[in-house]
Amino acid sequence: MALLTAGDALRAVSLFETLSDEELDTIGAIAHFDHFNEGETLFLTGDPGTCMWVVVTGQIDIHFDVEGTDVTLASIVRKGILGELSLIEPQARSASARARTDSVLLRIDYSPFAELRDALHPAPYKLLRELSRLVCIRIRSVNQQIELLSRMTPSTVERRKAITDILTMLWKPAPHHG
Amino acid sequence: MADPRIAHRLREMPLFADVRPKELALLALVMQEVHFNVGDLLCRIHEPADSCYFIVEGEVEVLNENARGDARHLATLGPGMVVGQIALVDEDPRSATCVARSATYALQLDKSDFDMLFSSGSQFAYRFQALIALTTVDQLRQANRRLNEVIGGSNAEDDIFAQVQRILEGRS
Repeated sequence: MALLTAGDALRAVSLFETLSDEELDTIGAIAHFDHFNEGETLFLTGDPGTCMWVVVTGQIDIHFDVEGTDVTLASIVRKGILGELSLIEPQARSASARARTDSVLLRIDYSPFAELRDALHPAPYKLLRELSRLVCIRIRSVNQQIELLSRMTPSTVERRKAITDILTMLWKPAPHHG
Repeated sequence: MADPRIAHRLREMPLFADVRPKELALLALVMQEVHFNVGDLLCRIHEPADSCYFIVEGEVEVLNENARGDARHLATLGPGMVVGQIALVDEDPRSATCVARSATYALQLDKSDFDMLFSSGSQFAYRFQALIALTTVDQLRQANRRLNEVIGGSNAEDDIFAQVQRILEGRS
């Protein structure tokens, strides 16, 4: 663990697979390791989202509080990412995140990322390219759900199940791609 | 040889205003002029996608057609705007149909040429990529909003529906 560099941690993640060693080091240089204890909150729904994280070790639960009921939508483990759309455009967090176990994460903040982007460094643009692909996959998932729901008659058991599935679909860890 | 006319038309569009002359010449070399009459399709939903169009003159309507043949208006685009740019990053077929609503003159950029420009560190390709990323996030928001509307048609007394709606609102 002690010998793991930020670049090494990023190399293991599919989002970063098009980056060269040098480009990984460039992103690694603006990244910071964060430690979260079991039960510790990373962010709450509605908080400003200005960074993404890569899970190095541990497990992060994405959850949503509905009038006192805590619903876990997804669990992100090693090599998984969260908050990645914040690198395209900072936006309010759509759910909360909490460490299920003691966890080590690598954080990439929007501001230094935007500076690299403004300096026309290739690394941020390669990431934006991969992130665009990821968003396209999500758009398709949402559109599929829309199609599915549009075809169903209201108040059926299937309809209820389909809607419940949307929750897990929206937050499931990013698929491997590219 | 790069067509000086294309370089000239590109220069008129805000998207290309800051592009260096050398790069503009390269763009003019790889882009093709295309003309569409009223009613012509620039692209059709579910068909293979490997290029985008920069509209120089004319008006283009973006439509979502479903399997039943119903068409829903999504947007109307005009000079200086671009259609089909998602094809430059995503392998999937077109997600919408684009039809010329007036005589339209556009410049076509193929994915293979965009890839070449991107790999060579083209400033234009970088800036355009950043714009495409913002476009995809915007489309995801719109999709989430539509999903929310569809769910809104469900039994509101059922907690799960209210729950998902609230989550989707947060996600917008």
